[in-house]
Amino acid sequence: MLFTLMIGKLAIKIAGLVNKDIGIAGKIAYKLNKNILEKLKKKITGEFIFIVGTNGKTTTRKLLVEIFGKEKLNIGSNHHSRDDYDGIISALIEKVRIFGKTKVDYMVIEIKDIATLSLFTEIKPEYLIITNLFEEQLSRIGNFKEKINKLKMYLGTLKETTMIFNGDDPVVVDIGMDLKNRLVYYGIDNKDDEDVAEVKKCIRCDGELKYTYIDAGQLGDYTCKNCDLERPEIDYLATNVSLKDGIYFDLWTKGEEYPFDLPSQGYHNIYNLLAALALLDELDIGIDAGELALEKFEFEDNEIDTFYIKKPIFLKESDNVSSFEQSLETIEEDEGKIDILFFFGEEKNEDDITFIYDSDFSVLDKASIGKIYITGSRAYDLALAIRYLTNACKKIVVEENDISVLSHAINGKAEKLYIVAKGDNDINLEKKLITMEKKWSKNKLWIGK
Amino acid sequence: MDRKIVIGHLFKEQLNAFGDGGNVDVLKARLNERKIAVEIIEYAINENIDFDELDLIYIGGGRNREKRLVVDCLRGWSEELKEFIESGRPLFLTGTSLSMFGKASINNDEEIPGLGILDIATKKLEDEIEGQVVINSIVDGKEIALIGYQNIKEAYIHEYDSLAIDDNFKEGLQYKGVIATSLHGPVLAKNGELADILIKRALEKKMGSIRLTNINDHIESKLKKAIKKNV
Repeated sequence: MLFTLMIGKLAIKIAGLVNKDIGIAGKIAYKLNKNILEKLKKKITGEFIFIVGTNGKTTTRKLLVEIFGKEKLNIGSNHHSRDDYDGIISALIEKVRIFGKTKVDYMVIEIKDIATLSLFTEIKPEYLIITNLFEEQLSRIGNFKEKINKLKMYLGTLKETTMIFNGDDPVVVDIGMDLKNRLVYYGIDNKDDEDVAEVKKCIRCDGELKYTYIDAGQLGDYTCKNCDLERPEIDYLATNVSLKDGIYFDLWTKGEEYPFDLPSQGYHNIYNLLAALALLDELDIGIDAGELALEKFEFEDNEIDTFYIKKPIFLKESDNVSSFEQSLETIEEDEGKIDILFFFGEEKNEDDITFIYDSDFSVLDKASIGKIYITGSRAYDLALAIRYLTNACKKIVVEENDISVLSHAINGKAEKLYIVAKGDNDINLEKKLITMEKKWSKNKLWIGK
Repeated sequence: MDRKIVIGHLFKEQLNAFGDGGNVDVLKARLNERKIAVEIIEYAINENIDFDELDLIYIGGGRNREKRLVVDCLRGWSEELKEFIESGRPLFLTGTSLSMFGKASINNDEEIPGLGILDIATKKLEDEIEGQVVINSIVDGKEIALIGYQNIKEAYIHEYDSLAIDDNFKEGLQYKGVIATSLHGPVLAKNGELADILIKRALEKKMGSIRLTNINDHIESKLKKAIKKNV
């Protein structure tokens, strides 16, 4: 163990020196010692917090790290490494001391995939957050129900863990219903006049799940006509939500009201905040501490928004080169048959566009990538670069009308669509897709799976 | 003789301020599309350069600090570089890289010593020029409209041919195989005709008169149309 740990620490140091991902340390350590995780766990005294779900893991983790930091708590987190198995081992190696025990207040660990979660039988976290579980994204890498069952089995072994779940997500609540643990739910009351009742297929019994309103795929207020799945009583509830000039909402819990006014954007970030605040309250740190710590918190939004309109649609809006390149990497990891739609708009500075000649577009050569739709005021610049930097010229379709290209891309033959946006575009893609998704699901009563 | 071009890309690490390396990608792709073999050799500072094996050289633009480094290195290759130019083999220069070939140049109020291979000097412009431009040009007897982005603070003074036919200061330079432009970044991407002129020159130096087959440039022509509308 001592040897493995030293090698692991050395690998982290070397990886840091050459700007590489420190996940390599975890990989090496696991090769040297298959029980490394259990051993590492024994060396740490402190509470473990696991965060899982389709969207919002990273932001929730960062929120917690920020708040704990301001509270001067000693924490560890997988912020230098990825959220996969190797990355998490690396994060622990990074934190523990070679000799003796390492005392931390909290280890905040974000876990990539609910299937990976079952690998962590050695660690029983004190707290576990599930942000949301979207079928579209999970089904990319296997059968959705199988994964949920695997997750249920794993959670069944965590008798002492406090669960913090998104109560607006019926898939998450279905899991919660089978648990005997301490369980708190968070959610948003956001019914507006435009929202109409909807029906989806119940995850628990395949019956009719009736929504009084629905947001972002499957989140909302629901009741199953056939079984006992319904939106539970929400312990941490956001009301009076406003997204004008920032995020504003009132958090209601235990008869108390806490107003929040943050200089950030994004409806989904309210969920991330609620998850973090609910945990704070459970830890007796208090919601006020969160309010104070987050006054100036800047949400870095590198996440991918998921929609379902005839097929899974993944939207990545990039405001910088590295996040644009990240989206190409994400596409590369996807083995499915996909189309890509680039919204390539005006940049503040002309020089800002030449980065495309330094980016790696080789992913576009993959046979699994069908059409490459391009629109936006700089569409032809991108099309030219793709023509010269790849062998994918024949896949390119440039369309000047952004609304019609969106519909062409959604109606395309591929199983999935990735939308990558950069620069100033005339269209608010997130809003447009939410509306399209609502319209589509209204016409479609059942999720066909 | 086989139809193959060897392109030397000099000091990409230092002189690649705005995706300049894209120019070499464009040359390579246009050669590949015509089934003409191509080899790209990238040279780093202090690496041995075999000028005899090169059919075409490209040098991109960079900041003053990088240009000083490159000039220091190229000084040891002055004779070979001069010989390359006099032989008429194509040398393509973008951005401010031409300034390195004079005795000295001023850039951003800073004097940078040069190689002294070409007889050129720079003078500060009263008003900086920045923006998308169309440069009307005649190269090898052919009229072409070059499109690109200019961001210049100094003009060149020289007696060589300018690249533009209608400018009131010297835009770039044409001398034997040298084509220099103040346009910066991946200039050839939007100017396939200029890329083809460089390719043709390199091939003809090797094997005499040739005719390049046409390739599909519809994306470029749509882009040009859009830019011309705005300029």
